[in-house]
Amino acid sequence: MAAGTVKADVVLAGTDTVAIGPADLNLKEGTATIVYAIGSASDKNLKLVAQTISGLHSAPGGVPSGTGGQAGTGVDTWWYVLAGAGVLLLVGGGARVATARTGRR
Amino acid sequence: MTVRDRGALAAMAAGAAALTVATLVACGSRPAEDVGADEAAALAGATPTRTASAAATGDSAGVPVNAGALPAGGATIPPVRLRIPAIGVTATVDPVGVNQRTDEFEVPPSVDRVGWYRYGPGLEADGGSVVIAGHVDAADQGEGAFFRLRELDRGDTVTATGDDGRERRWRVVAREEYAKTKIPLDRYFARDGSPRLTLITCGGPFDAKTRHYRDNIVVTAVPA
Repeated sequence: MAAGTVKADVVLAGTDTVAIGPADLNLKEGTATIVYAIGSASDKNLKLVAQTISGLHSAPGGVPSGTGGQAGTGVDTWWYVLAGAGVLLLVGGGARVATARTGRR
Repeated sequence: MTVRDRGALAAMAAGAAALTVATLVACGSRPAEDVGADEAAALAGATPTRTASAAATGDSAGVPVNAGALPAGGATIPPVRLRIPAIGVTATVDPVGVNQRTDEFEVPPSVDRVGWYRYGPGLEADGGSVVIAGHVDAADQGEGAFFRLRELDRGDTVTATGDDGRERRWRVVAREEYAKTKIPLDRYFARDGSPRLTLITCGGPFDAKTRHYRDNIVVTAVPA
């Protein structure tokens, strides 16, 4: 049952006579409410006693709150490619210089 | 100096430049680190009130006895307006629930509005986590109300106005970033523990294929 206010009444068994109510029950999310009718209809002392069990709630499955990508903080793959190319150029160039120098001697 | 030499030196210079630029970009785009994670966790684990009251009354049996009254219309005070001067946010707050289809938090579709979890505590609560979530951005609407949420820092002030017109001030104690698969949502949607305000949005790396962010940014504030 969805959380919210529910109108409930007690009807005598086998009749349409409303013995109690209707009473407003404010049912909170994450609770189970059990309402008992206590007393005697013929003695006209029927009343309600409620038992509320709380702590049955759960959290939502997730919080989806962005589809634009403007706030993305990750590093784009192309920057890693650029860094890799930089390292290759450095090593390649260095090796070339080194072989040129030893070759001249 | 030979032509070969010059070419090699040029290659080295280009390589060094490329490496420097890539490193700078990588460091520059690194998100701010989490702050106050321990404090946020401690707020959730506050002593349950039931054991405290049982001990106080000397109830040796330890069985809680509750009145059998009908569940009363609890006076929940929903927040209607949220103000965060430090990041220039003034947003209308809508009461929202859970999307029946996806089982996820129903963040208001308009990026200028933020959503308060109406099943959790409202501003009247003396315990539990008041949750407000908003968009960081949207593909069709641009920057959202919580675009700069990750810039909030400890000590910043958040003001929430209830539908009773009263302003309540909160002080930021923590900012955390979690992968959406690992975020302890039970803790942030808890209805017990110390009173706290939890602000949630998206963050971290963006996956352009699925059009989703990998992480959630969570800011926790306590009554100031």
